[in-house]
Amino acid sequence: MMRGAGNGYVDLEHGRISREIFVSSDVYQQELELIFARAWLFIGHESQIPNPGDFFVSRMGEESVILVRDRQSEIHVFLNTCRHRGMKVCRYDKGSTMMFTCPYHGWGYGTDGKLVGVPFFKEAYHEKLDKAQWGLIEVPQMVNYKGSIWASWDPDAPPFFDYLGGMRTYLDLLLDSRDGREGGAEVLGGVQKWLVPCNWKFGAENFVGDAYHAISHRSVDALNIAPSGKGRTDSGTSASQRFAVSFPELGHGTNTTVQMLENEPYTPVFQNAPELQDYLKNVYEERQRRQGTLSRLLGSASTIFPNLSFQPRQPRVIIAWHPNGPLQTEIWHWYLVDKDAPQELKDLSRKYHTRALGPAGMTEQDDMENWCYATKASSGTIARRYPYNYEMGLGVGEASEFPPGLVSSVPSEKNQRGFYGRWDEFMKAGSWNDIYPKRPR
Amino acid sequence: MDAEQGRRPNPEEGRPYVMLQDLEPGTRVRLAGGDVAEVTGNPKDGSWLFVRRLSEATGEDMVFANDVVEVVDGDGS
Repeated sequence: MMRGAGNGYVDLEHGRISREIFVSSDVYQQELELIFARAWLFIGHESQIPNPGDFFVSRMGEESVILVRDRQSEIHVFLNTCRHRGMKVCRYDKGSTMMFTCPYHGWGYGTDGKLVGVPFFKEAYHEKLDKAQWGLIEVPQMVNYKGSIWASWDPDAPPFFDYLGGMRTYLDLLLDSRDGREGGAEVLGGVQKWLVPCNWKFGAENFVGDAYHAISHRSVDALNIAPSGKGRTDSGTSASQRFAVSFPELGHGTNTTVQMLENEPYTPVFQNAPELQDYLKNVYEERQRRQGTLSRLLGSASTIFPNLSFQPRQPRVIIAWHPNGPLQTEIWHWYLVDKDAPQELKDLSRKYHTRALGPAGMTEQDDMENWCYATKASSGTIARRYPYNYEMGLGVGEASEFPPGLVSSVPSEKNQRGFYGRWDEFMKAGSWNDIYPKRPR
Repeated sequence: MDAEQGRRPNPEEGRPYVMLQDLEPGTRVRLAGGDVAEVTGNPKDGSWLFVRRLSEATGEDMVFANDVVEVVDGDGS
């Protein structure tokens, strides 16, 4: 215990978090080892690699990894570095290949990671190099959950479902088909990637349950960018309530919209496309039939500790906040649609997604403005002396069966406190033994 | 496949320079040591070819760029 820099930075009792954790290089370097080398991290979606040989280059913390489907259709995640001199063995964002060849000296690796080609193996190595020992470095733990691929570098990390805990219910809102069937999503188009000059935790804590910042998006609300032409998103309900739901012992959190009535009739969404209304009404009612009470959960912005956020509905998006130094984040967006949705809906979704989110999205521009200037205004010698305030709703929240989790009304900063409480535990822990099994808080 | 495919002049060695990226499966190449092999797969990385040696009943083999001497017609004899 007491291994990292976490001591003293997080004061949950009084709701105060030191600015140091958003700007300090020392803290950041420790995060890479104590958080990103331990936690379960999102890698990509299996629809990005449908065929043998397909690959997608992703990230775990600062490090490049290759998500690849091998010749036998097995999915792997490898560190993108040659075992000989460390050169990247793959310098493309995505593609399909028979093997990964290091351009430096020519070592070649199969899509299963095995070292299959060593130049001058007979003449220079005299056939003594043990190729079996020098394959690509593979993550010790990987999971394909409803098409989403997750991995951890720590062989002692708990099983993925234990890591997710009750947050699994909310992740399902993202991954399941709109009609309630399990899975069935695909990535729409490519992955948006861009750099933002702020610490990675700004985005993560915003999505973990910050409903307080709605004022930032008031101008976007007025522009009526939603797919029904009113407001920022379609509500999809006529009688609902929002809740802040957290799993503080795990660091995850979400704000979720819950329909107040059982079997609420369909409220039209995507009304700019009248030709899709029959389809949308049908999938809505089908989900009610399949899921019953659970279908009343509509979800909203969510974060799975440490750096994976998502919105399950509008925009239906997965967001990775990749750490790029203490003062920079590389944001990646994957937009999801049901694979079997009508093409018209996919086209409409794509237009709405780019209108709302991403580097040119109206909503996300507001967020980036806040995060960037908060970073700038927190980096100075004097500013660092003063903690941020997370007192909202201190001590408020109760365990709930439905919606599942530790629940309070919104806005609340209960979810953020849960996120940073878990952050603090990771930063202090010597190993997973210190932070698992979980402790309710 | 025409034997001209994949050949480029190599001024340093005075013999055809084999452009590995151009070689499609079915192309035959002469290897260092004299073996002739048929290309069975090409990762198009400019470094490696998957081949089957005509003189041996063994399965697929990998050859590095330096071991590919030239493109040949037929069995290369």
